[in-house]
Amino acid sequence: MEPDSAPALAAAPQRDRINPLALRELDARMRGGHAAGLLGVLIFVTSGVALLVYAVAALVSANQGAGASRTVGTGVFYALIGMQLIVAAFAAPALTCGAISGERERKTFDLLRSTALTPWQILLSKLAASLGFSLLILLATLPLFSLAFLLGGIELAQMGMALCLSIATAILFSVLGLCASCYAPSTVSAVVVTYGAILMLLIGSGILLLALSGFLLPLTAGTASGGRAATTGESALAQVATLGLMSLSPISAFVSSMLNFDNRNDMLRFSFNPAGPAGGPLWPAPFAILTVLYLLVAIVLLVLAARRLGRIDP
Amino acid sequence: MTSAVEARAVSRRFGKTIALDGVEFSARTSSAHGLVGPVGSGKTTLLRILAALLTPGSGDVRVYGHSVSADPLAVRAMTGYVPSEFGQYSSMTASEYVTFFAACHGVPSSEREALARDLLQLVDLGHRGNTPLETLSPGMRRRLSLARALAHDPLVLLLDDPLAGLDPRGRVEVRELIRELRLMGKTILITSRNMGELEGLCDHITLLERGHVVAAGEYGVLAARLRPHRPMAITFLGESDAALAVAASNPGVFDARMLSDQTLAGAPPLVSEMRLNFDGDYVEASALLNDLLRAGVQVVSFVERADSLEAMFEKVGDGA
Repeated sequence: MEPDSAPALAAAPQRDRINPLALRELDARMRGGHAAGLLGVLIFVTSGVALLVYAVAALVSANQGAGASRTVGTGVFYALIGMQLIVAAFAAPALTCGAISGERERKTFDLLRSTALTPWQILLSKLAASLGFSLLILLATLPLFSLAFLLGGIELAQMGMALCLSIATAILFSVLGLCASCYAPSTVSAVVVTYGAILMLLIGSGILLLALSGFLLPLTAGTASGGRAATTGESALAQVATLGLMSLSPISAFVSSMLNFDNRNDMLRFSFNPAGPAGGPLWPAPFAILTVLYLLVAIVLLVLAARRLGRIDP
Repeated sequence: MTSAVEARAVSRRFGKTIALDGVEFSARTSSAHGLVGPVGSGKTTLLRILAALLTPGSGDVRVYGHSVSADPLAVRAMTGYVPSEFGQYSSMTASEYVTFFAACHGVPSSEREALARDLLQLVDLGHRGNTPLETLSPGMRRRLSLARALAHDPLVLLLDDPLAGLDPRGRVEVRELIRELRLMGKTILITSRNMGELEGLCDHITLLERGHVVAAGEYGVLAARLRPHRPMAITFLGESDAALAVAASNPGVFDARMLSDQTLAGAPPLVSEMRLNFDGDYVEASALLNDLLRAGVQVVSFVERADSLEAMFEKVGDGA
């Protein structure tokens, strides 16, 4: 039997300006009152936490005189950023963990793959819908920061730094969930892998930093073991290692960048010895390193996920 | 004669399990081809390879000359795949379902609504366009799956066990629809566990067992080869002796026997069932029925039983 000649393939189909899968994902996420309800609850909780911190800080700093307002403002700012980081670190990946594995479980994955959608289109549609919602949550809490600004003690650069951290964290952890969803056999295992990795990054890097700080911090200040002066190389190496560890977790990156700004009034450059005569060598601030690092890792994870989906039998 | 689909020495493993081992077959353009075998015979694996959703471990599959391994996107553009399980998005209506997949296939937005309406009409769901997917019956879902698979007007339809789990009415509807699609010039590949199910639907059958092709050929030839005698069941009222005597005297009847009372548990006491193998055509079968009626046997039903697939495979194994 002779194979039939291949009929001419239809001309390249006219594409929608917005990917239909992305539209469907957004529609599914936003349809009904769930999204608005969730958003409302998160804003309500964040406002509640901010007010609680305001009350406590106001009580504690009542006898500080003129500086009390700034202390309260800083406290509120820390509380709001803490809430934003919680959303970015824990809520954002929850929206992507089941993105691909859920399609498998609903038996729609093969149907999607048998269409003209490319793996990148499928992935980016899923990511855009999930990340869009996470960013909406982050942006929706921004007006609450006006309270911190009103009270003082916070500058716009600090706000920008915190927003960079939150967004980079939301992006990386969303992509992590998406990637796990591509490789994991079920949504449950994708959730376990994703949150395991997130906790390792958040807690593990903190523990490592604390464990090594006894050894690293004196070196960064120029003192080696036994009280001798550390060589320039030893000191630089210790500073790089400490900076690397501080830049792994958004919590340590935020705290160290805030302290650096308080000491040096410079958001982008970081010094281990701000009080020293020359100020020591200057490094990029941990939040900047984290932002670049997280975005790069997110791109790598996306490529891995696309390769997985691109395989004819993922 | 031209072939739309060709599989050459296709093998596929999943770990240590051999799903397909050197499978060869071809399906003619605008024909309906049945892939028949028990659970685990490799039917679905073969169908997913044909849909470019799996790669063959070795060998090659071509759809209109396009290799599933080298050019999966072209193969997907030419095939419409209907899996055995209905893939469902919650909070979607039947019309939205078809429209969504049409959009995923690149159908221009201006054409989608009309296309969805036409396809739903084709599968007799025109009145169900606004019905949520969750409320559709299994038969409706199967027909909707067919509409979804037709959204990009594929040349080849790959139907994985399309009749499984349907009630009699649903089966009739889906069978009718498949016939209609065939008349529209589609090449159709259908998997099934029961060869009898494909009678009147497929003109060519490939029998699979444990990943091997055990028999292939035109439906009629293969059915005659696998089932030289028609297994028949005759139920009637009253005593069995006369019926048994008439059957035994017919030269085309083999192995006539009464079914024990235990097998007929639940039937009224006067109903008896006789099973026999009949070697003759429909005219001779009709003559046998007339003989029974003339002898005063009150025949209630006179039907040809579908031979079990297991029995067929035993015959294939015996070299039938």
